[in-house]
Amino acid sequence: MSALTYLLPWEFSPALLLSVLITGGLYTRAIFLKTNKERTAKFYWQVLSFYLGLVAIYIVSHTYVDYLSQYMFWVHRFQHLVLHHLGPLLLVLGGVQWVQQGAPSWFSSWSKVPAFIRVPCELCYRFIQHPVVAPVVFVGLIYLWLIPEIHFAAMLSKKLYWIMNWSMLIDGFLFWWLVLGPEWQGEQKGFKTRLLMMVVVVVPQQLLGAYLTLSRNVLYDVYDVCGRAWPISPLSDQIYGGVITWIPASMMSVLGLVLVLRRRLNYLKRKENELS
Amino acid sequence: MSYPKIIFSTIFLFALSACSNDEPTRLTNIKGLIPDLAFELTDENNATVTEKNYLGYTTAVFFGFTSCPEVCPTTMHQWAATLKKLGDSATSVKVLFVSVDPERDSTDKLKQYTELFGPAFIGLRGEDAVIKDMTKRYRVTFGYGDKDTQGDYEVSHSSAVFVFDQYGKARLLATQSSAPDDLLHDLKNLLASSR
Repeated sequence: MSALTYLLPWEFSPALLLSVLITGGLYTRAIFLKTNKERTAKFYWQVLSFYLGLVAIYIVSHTYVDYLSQYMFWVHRFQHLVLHHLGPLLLVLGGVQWVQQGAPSWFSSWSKVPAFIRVPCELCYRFIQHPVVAPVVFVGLIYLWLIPEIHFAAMLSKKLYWIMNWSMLIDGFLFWWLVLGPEWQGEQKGFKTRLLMMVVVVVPQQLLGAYLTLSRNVLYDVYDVCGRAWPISPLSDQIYGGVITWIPASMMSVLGLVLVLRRRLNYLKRKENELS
Repeated sequence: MSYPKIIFSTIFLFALSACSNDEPTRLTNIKGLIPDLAFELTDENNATVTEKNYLGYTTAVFFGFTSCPEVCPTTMHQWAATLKKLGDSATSVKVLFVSVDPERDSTDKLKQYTELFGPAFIGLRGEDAVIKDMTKRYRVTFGYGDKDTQGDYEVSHSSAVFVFDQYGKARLLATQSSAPDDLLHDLKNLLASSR
């Protein structure tokens, strides 16, 4: 197999390609518009984080990794780890909000959108970003797509597979945006809530991961039905997948926790300096 | 805890069940989930065949290989036994055995293999790329293990049998673990509805 086979998309997705190109393009334009004063060491770390996140999302959904994800349970778990946890977190840490600065001015005039479109959109957004709803949806989606019957249908049907991966990516982004996005300013805007949200999402993910890893039965027969990318015992496939769901996924949530704590510390320091 | 989850799953399951308005099946109903039957392959008599050759028949498509030690022979025997039980109506069923190991499975070898199971069984083969495209269409795959000293190798492949109706529409999915009674029951219903 040539190198091209590994790099070319298994199933070409114009939606994904356009999203990555537009986001990446606008961001790149925005960082060139930054003044020298704004280019601190933190800025370069953010740029690195952003591109890493974007490239990671592209690789797991638009190369040979996507093929493997359809025919190997553990690769599928890895794909979702990137789509739902790692990728969106890196984008948010990388200052994805700068995309707006790189966009043409008509792009960012949300208030000019007719009310009948804008209001329902805003209501939906407010609902899904509610501090109680967001963690439930975050964990709920992981559970939902792993219900054996639903998982079976999602792996068998191209349409459902597409919906599954997009729902993970969008939800991951919304969640990390809520927890670590730039809108977080100051104690009163919910430092404690964010901390609590991070704690709440860790435990159910660990339970699920442990269940998958320690289960003696093969829970997802769709990989036998559809065939695996290479010969491997179904139970080892499931154990690897379980471990990925168990350890790195919950570790990412702990990392989120640490990041929220660090933000609070920086905030308190800044406030102290202002006072003295 | 998971109130939106319940809503989500309800909508989801409802959407899934909306695909199957007709008689409930005991095997997995794949109506609407999998594309229609379409292929161009070489059959065991070296003739080029397409899905059109089998329109009017209820077809069962299986991706296997003749040196398969377990899954393929078990599945084929199960189908042979089921067809026997179906009696006369079995004449409108064709079982298409598509080889995922074209390197080792020549047309002669396929012919010898399918003759073991009966006249309804037809071996099909094609170039590697053609088979890859066909398996991709049905969202299944296959892969090869390393060769041993005798040049033999393991093949990972789908254990599914996709059943298409006389119009080439995907209807049922049976696996090695499907109960023979369920298979017989669903096939009878499918054949009765297509008359």
